[in-house]
Parts: sequence; C-alpha cells; structure tokens
Amino acid sequence: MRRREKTSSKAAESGRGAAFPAALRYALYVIVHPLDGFWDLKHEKRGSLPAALTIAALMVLSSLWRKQFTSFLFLRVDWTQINIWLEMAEVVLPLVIFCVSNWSVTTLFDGKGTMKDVFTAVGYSLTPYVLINVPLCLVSNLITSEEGGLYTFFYGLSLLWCAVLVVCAMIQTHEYTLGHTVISLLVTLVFSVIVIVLILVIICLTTDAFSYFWSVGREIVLRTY
Amino acid sequence: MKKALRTICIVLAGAFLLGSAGIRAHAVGVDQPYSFQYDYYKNALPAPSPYAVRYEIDAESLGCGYLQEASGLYVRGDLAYICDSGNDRIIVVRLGESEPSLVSVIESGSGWSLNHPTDVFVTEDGSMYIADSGNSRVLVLDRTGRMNFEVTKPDDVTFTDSMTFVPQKVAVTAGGRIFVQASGVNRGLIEFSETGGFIGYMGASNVAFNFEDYIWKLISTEAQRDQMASFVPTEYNNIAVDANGFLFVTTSSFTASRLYSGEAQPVRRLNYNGKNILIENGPSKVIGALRWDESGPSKFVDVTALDNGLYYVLDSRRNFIYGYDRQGYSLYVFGGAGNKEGYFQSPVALEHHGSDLLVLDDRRGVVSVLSVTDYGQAIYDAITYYNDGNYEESYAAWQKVLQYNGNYMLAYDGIGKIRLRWGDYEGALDYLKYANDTYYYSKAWQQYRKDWAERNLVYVIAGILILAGGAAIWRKISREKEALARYEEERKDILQGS
Repeated sequence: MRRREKTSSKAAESGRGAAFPAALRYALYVIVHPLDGFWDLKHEKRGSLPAALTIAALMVLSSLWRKQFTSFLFLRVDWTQINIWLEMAEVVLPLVIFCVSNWSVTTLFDGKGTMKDVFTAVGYSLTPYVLINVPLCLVSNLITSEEGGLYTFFYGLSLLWCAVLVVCAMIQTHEYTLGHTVISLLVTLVFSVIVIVLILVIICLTTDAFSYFWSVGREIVLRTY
Repeated sequence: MKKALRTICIVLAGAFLLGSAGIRAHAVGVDQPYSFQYDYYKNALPAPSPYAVRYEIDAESLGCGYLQEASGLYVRGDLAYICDSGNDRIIVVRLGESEPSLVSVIESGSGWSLNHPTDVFVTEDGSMYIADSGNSRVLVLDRTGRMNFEVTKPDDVTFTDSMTFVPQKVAVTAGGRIFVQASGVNRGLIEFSETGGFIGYMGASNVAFNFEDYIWKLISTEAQRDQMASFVPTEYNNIAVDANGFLFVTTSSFTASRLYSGEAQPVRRLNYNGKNILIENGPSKVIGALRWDESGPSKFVDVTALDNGLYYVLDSRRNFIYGYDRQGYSLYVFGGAGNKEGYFQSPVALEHHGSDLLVLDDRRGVVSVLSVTDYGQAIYDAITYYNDGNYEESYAAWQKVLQYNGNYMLAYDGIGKIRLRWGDYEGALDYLKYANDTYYYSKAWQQYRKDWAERNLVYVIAGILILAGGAAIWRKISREKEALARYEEERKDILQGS
C-alpha cells in the first residue's frame, strides 16, 4: 500500500504516467476495483497510455492465440480461409472506432475525458479478456465436450467482465452517472455505425476520384504522344 | 515509455512474422477437378476418381439406330432397360463384363403399343411396369410380354376432367404397390394398389406457413393468388427403390434459401407413411454442391441406392454424381460437364448394377457404365466391413484409402473410431481430430485422460506435496528474514538513541 502511494505520487509530481511495469501491474488492481481504479487511473496517473496500448495489443494477440490453441471441440477454425491481418483488424478496428466515436459523443455530452483518457481506460478494460482467455485455451484442451459448459462460462465471463469494466471506465473518465453512461454508450454504438458508413463512403469516393484523375492523366499522356 | 515502445515493436514484429509465415492454402474451384470431395469446411478438395468408365452402351453399335430423347433407365439382374422415348421403344441390353449385347427391343405387343415411354420398372418375377406417358397410362406386362393390366387416370375428385394423367416415373415396392410420379401433380407420388386401383397420394411435403406469403396473399388479386399457389408445393422428379424397399425420391423445386436452412430436402427417403427418413448426420446436409456460383445449386434428377446403403445422386446442373453413405456423409463427387469419357452432356437417369453405375446421357444418346476404381473399391470395402463389424478388414481398407488420398476425412474418422474401439485411445485422438469428429474425439479423450490420471496419480500427488512443502518453507524463511531485519532496525534505533 505504501509503495503504491509512492509510485502514484511520483507519477503525479512528474506529470507523466507511471513507470511502465507499475502501470501494467496497475491493470490487476483496476479489474477488481473498477470504480476506484479508473478514478485513480485518470486523476492519480497510476496507469499510462503505453501500458493500455500494450494490453490492447495483448488482447489482439490473445484473440489470435485463442483461434490457434483452443481445442477444436469448442472452436473450429478453417485455416485455409484465415488471413491473419483481417483477424487482427477484426479486433483492432472496432476498438479504435469505438474509442474515437465515444470521445466524439462524450465531448458533445459534457464528458470530462480526453481522447487519451478514453483510449487508456478502454485499454485497461480489456485486461480480463487476456487474463482469462490465455489459460482458458490451454484448459480447453484438457476437457471433453460434455464439460464444454466450463469453457462457455469462462469465455462468457471474460466478455461480460470487460463490458462491466468499460461501463465503469466511462462513469469515471467522463464523470457520468450510470444512466448517462448507458445512454452515451448506446449513442456511441449508433455513431460507430455512422463512422463505418462514412469511412466506406470516403473509400468509395476516393477510389472514384483517383480513377478519374488517373484516366485524365492517361488521356493526356496518350494524346501528347 | 521507451520500454513500452520496444514492447509494442516486438509484438508487431511477431505478428508480422506470423502473418507472412502463414501460407494460404490454394482454394480449388468447384468446377475444376474431375473428382473432388468436400472437407469439413465445405471446401472442395481434389481427389482420385472413385469411378471410371468401363464401357458405353451405344444403340448404334448394338444395331438399333440412335437413342432419341431417352429418359428412363432401369437395371434388374444383368439386364438394363433403356427407355428410348423419342422412338417409342424400350431397349433391353445385357450388361456383359467388357461389352454390352442387345437382348430385345420392346415396342408393341398384342393389344398394346408404346407411345413415348418415360420410365420402366421390372420386378423380380419379370413383370414390367412402363410409364407410357403418350398413352396416359402405366402399362403392366408379365414376363412373356402379355399385357396384364394398365393403370390409368385415377377416378378421384383431386383429378379434374381437364387434367391429363401423364406418368413420368414409376416404381414398385415389394408388396406390389405402384408409385407413380406424374407431371403437374404436386401432392407427392400417386399410389396405386397391386391391381391398379387408386389409393391416394404419398410423401407430399408439408407446406410451411410463411408469413411473407400470407401478407402477399392478403393484398393480391384472385388471379395473382392462383398464379402464386402453383409455386408452393414440392413436385418430385424421380423415384428409386432401395434394398430395404424404401422409396428414394428427388426434387428440384425449391429455393436456395430453403436449401441453406435444410428445409428443402432435395433427396428424400420415404417410409410407408410418406415421411422422410433420410439420415443426415454429416457435417453438411444432403444437398449436392455446398458452394455454388450464379448458376445455382445442384438440381437433382435421379438417385440410386446400392445394396449396402450407399446412394448416388445425379445433378443435372453441373453433371456431377454425388455419393453418400447411409449416415449422409458425402463420400465423393465425380463426373462433370464435357465431351470426354467420364463426363456427361445432359445426364438424365442413374442406375446401379452391383457396384457399377449406369448413367443415361440423352444428348449423347449413350449409357455410360462406370465401375469402381481401386480407390473407390477401398472406400466401399471399408464402409461395408465397418457396418458388418469386421474392424480389422475395415482398418486395412481405410489405410489403403489414405495411401490414395491423404485428404480423405472419412478414412481418418474410420481409423479413429476403430482404434477407439480397440482401446488405443491415444492413437485414436489424432485421427479423430483430423476428421473433425468432436463426438468420438471427446470420448477418446475422456478415456485417455482417465488412464493418464490413473497411471500418474502418484506423481501428481507427490508434485502437489512438494510444491506445498516448498511454499511453506519459503514462507518460513522469508518470515525469519523479516524478523531479522526488524531486529536489526530496532538494534540500530537503540544504538542511535544511546
């Protein structure tokens, strides 16, 4: 207890995040004391953005690990159809879009969190996924399909825990009530869909524009020579 | 911060290596290989040919002209009956070892003559049942060619005067019941008694209540509604009788969405109540092609069931023949569209002679007689031996299959199941895993785990005790150290104080 206080005060003094290993270790405190933990994460600077990003990266890796090492009794993967970049994007893109749209929404809704705060808090919220799923994959290879309930339970638990942490993170980061948080999360989801649609539209239009200029360029080249 | 960056870099580099090392397996298109099989994930994998053409029955070389619009085929004993519909005759051919020989041509007799016969069925005592579509009857001849009786338009309210009775396919079960598939009839098969009396309809599929259709019906006019009604029920297009006397039927009237959901059931095995009792335990339903392009799903036109329970379905969309075992596992797919031997242009009928398959191609006007290759025979043997309880032989046959085709899922499954039966749980695990057989893998794993735990119980307990003891000692040492440190500190305080 004494040591933790020391770390936090030092971090607060220097105005930067805590030292990396301590910041990473702090995730273990956050997941069991979410309200307290996320408050200190922001105000006492006991966590740091690099640590949060590391946790997010570990989460991406553990989702790959899960596909690779879970027993085929519970998860079947057709490896001929797997593209590892797509698999990673499937996890990373929703996270990034969620954080960005959450920040956009809460900025309008009087949220107190900055973009950095949102990324940090969401990163720390992903800890249970890593902590549960990595050993769960190994355990899944020891159990039979009759005992599959165990696997389903713990996998569900890991997702639920993350969800609860995200709610707590929003409450503390933006200084909202629970009701506000739920509403802002719903709006965030709607906004995420809009963001995805916008991205697709931009991609389409850019491609069209590019092909237009490309063909104009070709035309000029062909006419000149 | 620097450390964190380095960690991220290492993680990303690792991911990159993983990504570039993963070799993407080449996906094989459905229409490329001559023979292929489906893996667990519905990918088509090339495979050796299970069947090869032994010879072709060509009417011209038998000295009886060309086949025209041939549509029906039947095999009883060593005789093949080919319905040469366009020429109003039935050609009877003896299936020899290496070449066919003409037996007779059936065209007319005393008081009867054929008009566009579309199908024929011959019972064990030699009676012939001919779907004489041009004359709107099913003609029943005894073995000498004398007309026994004829089955005509049923005298029933469901058959209005304006409807004509056009029998397309006919089959007779062991009791002499006659089942007719007639064009324009969508209530299932028409069932007649052994003397030709109308009994009723059989095997019509239940029309499921569809909310969307209901809404459309509410808002459409009467004329539109009449138009709509004709789309709803299933119309069968072929019948076959299997070794147990059950009827196999095929249908091609369904939508692709019903095929995906498993409702369409394009191949059915009907019991005496007309209920579908086809077993579909395989990873996919019995629907032929599992992936298809814009040309659509398989369109089945005929089915034939071998004596050991294997059955083959003929797809006229891509001219493939799909083989299934009695559990509904896809064994292999072969054939295809083309002019070469072993390919078909417009296959319309499928029959079997022992383990040989006969395919009638109406555009080419020939019947191809296909017989099993060594590879096909090994699969056939393995399944038959397994069903007979002859596991050693089955095991050897599956190993032979694997020598031909290392991708063959059922062989791994068969070997795994036999090893499990023999009590070689560890050996069964890998095979069952390759076969994606969760049920038997789980059983094998349970046994293996139990054996392992029993063998190693002593070590496990010893390990736990050692760990517990070590932890206790460790705690004790650290406590002593702490006490020592406290003592030192106190002593220092005292010394400083004095």
